[in-house]
Amino acid sequence: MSAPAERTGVIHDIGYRRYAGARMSSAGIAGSLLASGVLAVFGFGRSGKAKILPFVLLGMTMVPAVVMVGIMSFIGLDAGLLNYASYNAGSSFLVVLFVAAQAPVLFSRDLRSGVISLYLARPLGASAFALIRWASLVLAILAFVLTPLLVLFIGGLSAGASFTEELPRVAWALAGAVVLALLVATVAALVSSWTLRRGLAIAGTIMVLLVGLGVTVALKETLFFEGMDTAAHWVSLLSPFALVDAVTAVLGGTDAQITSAPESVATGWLLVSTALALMAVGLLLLIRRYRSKGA
Amino acid sequence: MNLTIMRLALRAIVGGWRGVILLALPVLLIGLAALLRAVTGEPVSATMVIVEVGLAMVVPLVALLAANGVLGPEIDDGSVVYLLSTPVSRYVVAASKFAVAAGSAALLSIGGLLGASLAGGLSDRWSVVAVVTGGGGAVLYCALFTALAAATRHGMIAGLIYVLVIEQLLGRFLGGFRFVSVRAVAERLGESAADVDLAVADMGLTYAVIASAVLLLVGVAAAGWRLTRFQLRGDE
Repeated sequence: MSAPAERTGVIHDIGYRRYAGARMSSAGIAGSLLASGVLAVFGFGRSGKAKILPFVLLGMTMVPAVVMVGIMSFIGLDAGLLNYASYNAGSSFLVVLFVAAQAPVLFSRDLRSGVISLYLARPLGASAFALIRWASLVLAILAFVLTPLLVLFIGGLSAGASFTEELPRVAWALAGAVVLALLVATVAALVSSWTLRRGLAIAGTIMVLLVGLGVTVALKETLFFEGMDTAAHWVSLLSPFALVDAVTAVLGGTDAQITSAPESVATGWLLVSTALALMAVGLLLLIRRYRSKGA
Repeated sequence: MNLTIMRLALRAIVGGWRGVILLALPVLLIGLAALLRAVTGEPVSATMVIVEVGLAMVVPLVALLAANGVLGPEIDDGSVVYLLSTPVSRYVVAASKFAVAAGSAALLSIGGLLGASLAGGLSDRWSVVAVVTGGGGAVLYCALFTALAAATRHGMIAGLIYVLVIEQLLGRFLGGFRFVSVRAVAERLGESAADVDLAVADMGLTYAVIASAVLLLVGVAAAGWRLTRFQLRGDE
């Protein structure tokens, strides 16, 4: 048996290096995940086609605002035309369409393809990941809902409306929009993280939000007609849009657009807090979903 | 028509979450009618339940889910090539899938509307509306949505935009859109069959009949034509 041939192989140093730069903290990771989530909803970081739908929908919600401001400045009608609160109710189905179409981008794709386990292998845990995804959907919906309101407000001011008169009215509408975004995002996140298929998630969100709104309106009108007002107010919890409409009407004194609003302020606060409690339950379910899928 | 394709399509519709959502819609409608009747103790308002929730939302959504269920997921994940590589005419593929989607959507729509009008204590004429407008509308919607699902990967969104923007938003302000509205055509058919007032804008019955026939033929043919030119593409 001959001696082993003399080793001739060499390990070449071809210059690979370890990453020695600054590493982001958990907060940094969370921040960039949040930002990329918000941008992905509007199609940034995705193909050009993915940008069409969100921006077309955004354009469509702006049309009434632009028209109203135009009428104000050219025909010179008074500021009573600026009805911010009705905007939330009036553009409800565009919001639903936007959320239904874009929520699967954040919640279905990585869960379905299994990429989620790569995300969760990073220092950020499942709960944080789920909450950040939810927060980016909330921010995106806020951008979608607030833009026309701000156009209306600023346009109205430049057309001669009084700042001090308009401010409380627009503030209530903005507060309503924030609650709306929180609730709608929770519903859409839950539906799309459970159904996983894009088409199905869209249908599920539409069913819960839009058919839910139709059912709520029918129920509320009938209950009011029968004189069961308390029951009618609580039915608002079935639909975020009906809830926000009723609550901003009673607390902020705006005109109720969907059905009549409760009269006691206490009921209004009770409704909001119940809705937010339900939202917290929804978030717990969302976190559980990510825990079980990502493990 | 190809029985194997139809069997597979049926399984795609009823399986999993899609079946749950599909079934939930008509059940929700019946439950709403029953609840409203229990609260008031009188027959429910047909406009509120049958028209505003049933015909405006449940029927198009059921049709959209069914039509996208038979074609959408396969095109989405690319497994449609295995189906298209079989020596079956693409038009037969499209027609078989459409038949299953239309059949199940019509069944669920009729069931939901009929159940709601019975549970709500409405007159028999509304049962006729349930069958004619609900069933006919579901079949017509399916023809349109099958074509859309074959034409684009975003068939679901395209269908929703059609229903929400063209039919409901623009249709409310611009009366001319009634001529391209499946719902208006289906309601016109139901109105003349059941002798009820569905508040459809004036549209000749002849137009409604011809438009439905054209939509059926063109929808299925377009889906088949689109499948003959099918190209595999990556995600987005």
